[in-house]
Amino acid sequence: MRFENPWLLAGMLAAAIPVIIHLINRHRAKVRPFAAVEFLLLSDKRLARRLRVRQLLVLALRVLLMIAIPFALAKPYLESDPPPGVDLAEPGAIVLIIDDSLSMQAVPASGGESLVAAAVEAAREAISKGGASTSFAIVAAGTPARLLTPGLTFDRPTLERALERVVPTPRGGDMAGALREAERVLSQSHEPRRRVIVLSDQAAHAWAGISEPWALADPPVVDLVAVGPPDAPPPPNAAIDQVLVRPAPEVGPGQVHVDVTVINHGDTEITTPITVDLAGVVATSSVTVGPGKREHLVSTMRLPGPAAGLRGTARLESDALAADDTWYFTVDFGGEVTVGVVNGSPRNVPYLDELFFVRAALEAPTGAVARIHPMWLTPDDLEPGRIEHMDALILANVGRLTRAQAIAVETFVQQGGGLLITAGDQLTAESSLSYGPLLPLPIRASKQVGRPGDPASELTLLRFDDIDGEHPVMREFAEVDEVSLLKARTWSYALLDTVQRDGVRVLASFTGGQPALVEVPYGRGRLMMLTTTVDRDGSDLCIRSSFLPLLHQISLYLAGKLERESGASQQVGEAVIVDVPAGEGGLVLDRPDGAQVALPDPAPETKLEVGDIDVVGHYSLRRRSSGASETVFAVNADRVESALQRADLLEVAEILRRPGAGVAPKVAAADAPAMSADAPSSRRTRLWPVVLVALFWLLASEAWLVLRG
Amino acid sequence: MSVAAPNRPSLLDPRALARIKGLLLRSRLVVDGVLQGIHKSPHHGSSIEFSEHKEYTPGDDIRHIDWKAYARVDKVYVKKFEQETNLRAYAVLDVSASMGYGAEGRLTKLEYASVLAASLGFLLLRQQDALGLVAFAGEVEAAIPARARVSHLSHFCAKLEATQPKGLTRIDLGLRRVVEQARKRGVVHVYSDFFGDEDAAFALLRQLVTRGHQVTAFHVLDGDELEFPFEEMTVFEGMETGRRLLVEPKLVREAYLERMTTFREGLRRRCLADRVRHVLVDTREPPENLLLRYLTGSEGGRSQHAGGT
Repeated sequence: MRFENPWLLAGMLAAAIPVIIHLINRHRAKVRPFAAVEFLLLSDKRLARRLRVRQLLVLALRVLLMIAIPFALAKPYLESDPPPGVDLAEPGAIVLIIDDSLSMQAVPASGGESLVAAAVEAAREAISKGGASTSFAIVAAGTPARLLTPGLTFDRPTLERALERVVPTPRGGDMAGALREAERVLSQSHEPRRRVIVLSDQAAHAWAGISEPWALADPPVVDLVAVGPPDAPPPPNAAIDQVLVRPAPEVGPGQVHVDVTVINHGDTEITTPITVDLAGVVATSSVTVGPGKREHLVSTMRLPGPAAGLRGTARLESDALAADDTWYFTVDFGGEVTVGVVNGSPRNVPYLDELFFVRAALEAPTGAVARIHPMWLTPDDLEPGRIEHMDALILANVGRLTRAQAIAVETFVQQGGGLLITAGDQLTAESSLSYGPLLPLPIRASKQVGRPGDPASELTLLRFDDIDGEHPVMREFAEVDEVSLLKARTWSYALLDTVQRDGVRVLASFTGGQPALVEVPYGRGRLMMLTTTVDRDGSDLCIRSSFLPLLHQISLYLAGKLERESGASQQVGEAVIVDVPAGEGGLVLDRPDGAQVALPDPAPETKLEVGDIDVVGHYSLRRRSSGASETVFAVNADRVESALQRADLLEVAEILRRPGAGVAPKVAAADAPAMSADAPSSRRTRLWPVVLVALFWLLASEAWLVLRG
Repeated sequence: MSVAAPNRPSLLDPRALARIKGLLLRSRLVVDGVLQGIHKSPHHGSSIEFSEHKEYTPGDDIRHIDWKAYARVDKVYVKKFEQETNLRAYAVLDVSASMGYGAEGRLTKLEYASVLAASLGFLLLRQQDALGLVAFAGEVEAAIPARARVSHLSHFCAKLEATQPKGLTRIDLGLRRVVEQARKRGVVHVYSDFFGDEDAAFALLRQLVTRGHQVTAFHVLDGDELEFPFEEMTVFEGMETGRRLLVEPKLVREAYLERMTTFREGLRRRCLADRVRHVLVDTREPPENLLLRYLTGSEGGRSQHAGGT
């Protein structure tokens, strides 16, 4: 028997307390000569023995209570020999799941080889102990889970070659996929003895979200093997969780803010230096992060050249898991942002035209690192060939869309484009039905709350009130006290329906709480709607000084140029959709490991899905004939892997036990001592729940005896 | 004999009596109380017999003038009475260690029994009965032959005072001595807590009754023994056996009282069956009250009440 908190056993000395109290009471009892003591004896004869037994019983219960409390708090457990399970030497079918996710690159605090190397060694030993009639298959659990052998095989050289292919990867974990793959492989075997051995660090994130691991009614026996030093706490690990780069025009031309988020997964506070390298411009600082906390470090840097396709890295001091200490990112504010603007209400008189003020705003210099190139369109131009090369689209007071137009715009957004819809007399509740999902929220009605220049309307006019300063578009407006945006008056607007839609974010509201500017992600792109007009028909926003920066911010944001961040779409193991560089000739992908991969030209498509992303770093897609134009993107490891805390294997075992299955799987919480020197040599059985139950019964018995007495 | 109300207010509280030294004085006080009670009674005694006439001389009690004789002989005679002198009374006193028990501030059972014995002895000697004493414990500790002299009382009291509670309760030894000495008809008062061999004691009591003795058993018990009022955990030490017993009183009280009631009732029934007068003596009661009840024959109610039946 062992204890998790053995020092608490010192509390068992308290067992002497009831005995001491008993002895003191006995000592303090008065001695009284009494003539009729024989009557007491006679009375006592029937009771005496019972009372004495009861007193001794109460005393014993109290002593046991005082022992049981620290005993339970010390958390005793039994370490027993592993359950027999399936003898490796007997005929059977065994699938070895080897976790090759990022967290397996961690090196134990005690040093030595990485966990993935220990897992491979354990697998190799299991195979060597397997009998000639035992077939094996090897599944790698990194995203996506992969079968490394041609199914179950008896051929040891094949297995050895598969093991040699298991190397540390920056992949995330796909334990659910690995279990399904193992089950699929075993279902093809007729062997009655079927077993799955999971060789992993058993990090909590590997098992998160797995509730129905088995598809078949007769799941196999599962052994969970926690590789690494037994009972050792996970090594402290810090990671860069995200890097955001945004322009800093308030600092100066070409200046950007680089916001590095550092997360500390360890149990102690850390102070670590951070080095940010942006195309050769290096900034170094340090950050202190508390246990389990995340901190931001913002560095202001000057871009070394045009902000197009710049490579950047942020690095921490190397720790137990070095792979998550570097974050790769790109900065691509530069170049031109093409914004197609569709006029839904053209007029012959220029200043009455719907786009009079929009035209003035978009043709003005942005002052930012990216330049906006507007293209003036009509609703008839809304077809795939016309809009697909644009970065963003503005539908200004555009009424009913044809089915083809709606599909063209929807496809445009789903592929990563941005769309701004502005309200007006053409966009009514009825006509907006043709927009389908393109509207962030359905229009319930068009509202008129006053007239421009009418003094009686001054009290009913709406103003911008609640601004979401956290949003990149509105950040500049929230940081200035006196903004003309808040002074803009609105007398006509589209009232949106308050239905539930995932991801809807209200960037600004009117004084009555009605949404003024809303956004929702759609596909790979973004949808945004301004519920009033961009001419003077419904608002005087367009003549306010804030109109120009607001329209610039919206355009850049919808084009994805406002800030470049490394999101979930750029993770190892997932496909990345990138813009195809202009020009002629074959496409070549330069990988971070120096390899070059020829890719087919998707023309006339302008975007290309790049798969087989298994290395972190900067990738470059270019034309073979000319390297002048390239599309650079960065790929990082899944940061979920950075948390190295181990899962509760008993809970995992419960998950793996299929309720109602004919044969419940046997689960060894920690097994295979013969396979790995690092693996725990026995199974742990917690005893304190039993002790707590016993404690309860002791308390109840003691109370019953005392009350009865 | 006159009758007094048995439950009248105490003339002398046992706690006050306990502070008075000297058995003789105690017994005189008790007897005075008893006599006061008797004087309040309208009845006269009946144990005095007419002896002879005597010519009246000044100073004689005019109540005793024989007016019939005066009518016949024209001379004034007064009646002269002869008191009974053939009654022998024995006080059989238990002086075992258990009789030494007494709650704080109260007389011990032995002291109380001694006061009773001395008081009754005083009354007996006053009517010129002979008074003897047998004090016993594990053996006969003291014995005084029956004498009718008034001066005998001081000797009687001195013997009583000289006895110390010790040893076991062997009632049969004390009674056997009385059986051997008391050949003539007489009165036997047994003062004891009867914490001994009852069977042997009653065999001898029956023998005394058979011989014509008037036997009274004064069953002397302390209030603590009757009610067992203890609360705290206590080591009770047997006064005769020295045996110690650690007891939580509240746990055993019910069983003890049941046992004690059975014991008292059993003793009372055996006395009734063997024609032995039974008087339960609670040492919390003023002795003169008890004596009055005894002398007026009304102790049975008290006994029954104390017996809880």
